[in-house]
Amino acid sequence: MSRRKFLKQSGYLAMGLLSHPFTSGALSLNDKEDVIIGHNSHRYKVDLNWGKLDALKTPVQDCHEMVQDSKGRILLLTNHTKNNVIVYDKSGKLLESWGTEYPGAHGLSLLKENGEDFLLITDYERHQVIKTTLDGKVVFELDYPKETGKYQSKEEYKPTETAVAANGDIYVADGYGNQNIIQYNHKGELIRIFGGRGEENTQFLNAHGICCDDRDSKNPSLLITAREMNALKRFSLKGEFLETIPVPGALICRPVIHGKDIYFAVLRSKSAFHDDSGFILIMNENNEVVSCPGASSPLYTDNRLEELYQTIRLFQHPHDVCVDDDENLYVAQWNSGQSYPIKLSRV
Amino acid sequence: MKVKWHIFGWFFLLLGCVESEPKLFLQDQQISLSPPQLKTNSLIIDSSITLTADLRLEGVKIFYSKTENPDSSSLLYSAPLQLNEAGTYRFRAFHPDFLPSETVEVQLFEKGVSPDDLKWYTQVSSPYPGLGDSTLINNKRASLSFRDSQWVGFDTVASAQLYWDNRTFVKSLTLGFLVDTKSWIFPPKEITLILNGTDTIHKRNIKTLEDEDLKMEAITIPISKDLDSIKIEVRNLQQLPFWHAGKGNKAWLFMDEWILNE
Repeated sequence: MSRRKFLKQSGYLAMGLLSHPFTSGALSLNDKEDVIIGHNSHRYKVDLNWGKLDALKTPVQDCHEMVQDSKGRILLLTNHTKNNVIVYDKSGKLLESWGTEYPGAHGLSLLKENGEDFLLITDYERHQVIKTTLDGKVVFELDYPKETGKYQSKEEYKPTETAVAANGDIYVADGYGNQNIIQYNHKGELIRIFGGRGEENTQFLNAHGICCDDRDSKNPSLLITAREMNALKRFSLKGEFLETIPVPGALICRPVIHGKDIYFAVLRSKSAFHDDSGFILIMNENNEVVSCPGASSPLYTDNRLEELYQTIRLFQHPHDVCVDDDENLYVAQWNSGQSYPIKLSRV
Repeated sequence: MKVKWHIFGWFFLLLGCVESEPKLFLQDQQISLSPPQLKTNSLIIDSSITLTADLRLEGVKIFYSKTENPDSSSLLYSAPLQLNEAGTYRFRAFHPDFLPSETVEVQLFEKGVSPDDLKWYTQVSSPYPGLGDSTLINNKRASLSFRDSQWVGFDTVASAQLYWDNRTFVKSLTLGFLVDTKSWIFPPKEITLILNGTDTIHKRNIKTLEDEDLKMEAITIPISKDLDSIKIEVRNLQQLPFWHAGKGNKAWLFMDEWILNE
């Protein structure tokens, strides 16, 4: 007998023993169980109430991305200009909020310099990347990379994500613009540009997210999502194409490395009946999909991953996933009725 | 007295807590399954077609029916189906921990009679030419994606004539079209058939939509006549309805197949 089945039957037994009408209302709560989603080593309970705030005081529009800072706080970036950054503790309690000047707030990365946390915000409406302190003071702004000759105007540049390498270099993914990856040094001076729109190995359709993969500390590299292509691409830190990891059916937003695993919010399933058909996807250290909370179980046939798709109507359009120090997940969603993030507690 | 009220107060407070304390985590039966994924090798039956239904979640059961909205007493799907009968097949997923899925359906058609010749009077709209002149009589239907190359798109009228060398009995015409309101694709507004150059059949106001929708549809128009030619004219909707983001503008018309049923 499985543990869940046993618990279910013990629940029924308790109901039978104490089925007095006066108490049955209370105890009937016991006949339901916590839903557990995900597969293999990565399974979760779902907390739909985490981080819910008074929408009149602290509203959200799209919840685009989340990070955890060095103090353990959870930071949410939304494109609502009443409060672009909302800071929570891990229990979901509001600590502070700031930011009114980021109408296209989209990408949020944390970087550390000399022990201090900073944020990199990409704003596709301002066509800029903005570096700020944790309380919102602007350190510098990166405008569109005119000097590369790849842009006629700033409007062609719609950055979606940043990543910071160990040496401080900043990589910007222009995922809603011309699909380039632009590399700067830590001072914001241009080093190189690569990628571009197209279906070649070196190119992207919707280069939406980027991160530095330092799991192999001797060979750090870049992981970049090509969301419309349902693929994750690996490049060297100098912009040379290394490999493509296909994720059939999954529109992956950005790679988030935690420990040896990579986590992704999947905006939607490629061939679902509904548009709001997103889920979460987790790869192990060998870049194999091991768990898809909210979606079909990962299945490899002849080393080829079968198409993934949503199986339960839990998530709408997940846009980012933040993994905390207890390996719980926080899921920020785009175009999901101004809803606050969903927390997944690892079991 | 004071003490007694205290005890009662605590009792009710405790009861209140137990009664109303929200569950921390999502519970069984609070959310529903996604609909099963359906795949077929064709929607037009020549001899038979293979249909698979899938929802890769442990404990899921898929039930199907040709006559009603499926429930857990309908036929249990257990292996790919070999189907040789036209009709609408409906599928729905069930699971002990989740609410049942919505019903998804697939409509299968018998193959019709092929004309010997075809002449187009109007041009297809260039971004959506289908697979050439005979796309609408190639015995292949498209899919829900308007980018499927089996769709032929029009932003005005579609007009063509089909010919037979020998008079051929045609019972009816089935016209397959797409409804994808978010992509401004609406049902045809008007269909005119001219049989053997003389008899005319008009069909107006095919379907009025009141909300966003995405589905493949078909309309069947009775004919029951021996034909040596049939001219088919299909007009798009000239004004998108008031509730639509593009209200007042003209709609796209997307068709994938004209089936001449025997």
